[in-house]
Amino acid sequence: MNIGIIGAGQVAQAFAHKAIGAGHTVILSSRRGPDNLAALVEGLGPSATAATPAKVAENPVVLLAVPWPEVDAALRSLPTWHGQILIDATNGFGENGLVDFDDGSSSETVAALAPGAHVVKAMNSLFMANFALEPISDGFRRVVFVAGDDSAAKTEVADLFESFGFASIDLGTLRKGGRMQAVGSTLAGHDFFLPWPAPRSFPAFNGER
Amino acid sequence: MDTQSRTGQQIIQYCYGDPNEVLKVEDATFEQAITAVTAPSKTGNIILKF
Repeated sequence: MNIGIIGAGQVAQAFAHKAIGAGHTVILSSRRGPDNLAALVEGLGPSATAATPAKVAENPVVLLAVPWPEVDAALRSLPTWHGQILIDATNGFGENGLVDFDDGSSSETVAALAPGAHVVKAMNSLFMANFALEPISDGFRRVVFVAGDDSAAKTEVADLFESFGFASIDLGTLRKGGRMQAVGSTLAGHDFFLPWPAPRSFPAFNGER
Repeated sequence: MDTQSRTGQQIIQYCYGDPNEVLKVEDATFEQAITAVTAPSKTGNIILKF
């Protein structure tokens, strides 16, 4: 699968390594232009290239991995979305600390800035140092939580992370599941594992949606 | 606890290196169980079983 990545920092690079390791192709972008990513792309190998953010967003699955203060400008600069999946790995953490989304979630803000995209929140509970580690350990799989309002998109993203070797747990909607895994939340910073194979959802929780 | 949200499901948590340290959370929603297993006094990797 071709996966576009908006951003080229720690999260983008950790994701790119995992995706390439699972046999996917990644196309990275940065606001400084593709030429500035030459060294990074070379280091990632032949399954990585660089392009403009607009070109990257044409891919069927796109990872958004930029600092929160850059989210608005990054998404407003893109052409209209036509049903692509946008994996939101951003953290609602601004220059003055945690951003207050009232009763909503940061991913709902992302979704509002990317109409036409199917936004799935993921990767937010994990420290990137842990995400970068081998996801399978002693028969257990490290957990990546996913949340979204489009079931098909959420399933595709869960499948993608499982292709990397992780276990996916569905937390529900962008609002509820997004808030649960966001920076500063109960799940944030903890390293969860599941015996494998495992169910993708907690029945009681999903029954509440 | 809101009895309407009780389900009989459970999450079991223990830390790597000490499988005897097991915490069972039963009759809880996912959020209630997660809150219990991520209590500040609990450290290490968390294994979920449900």
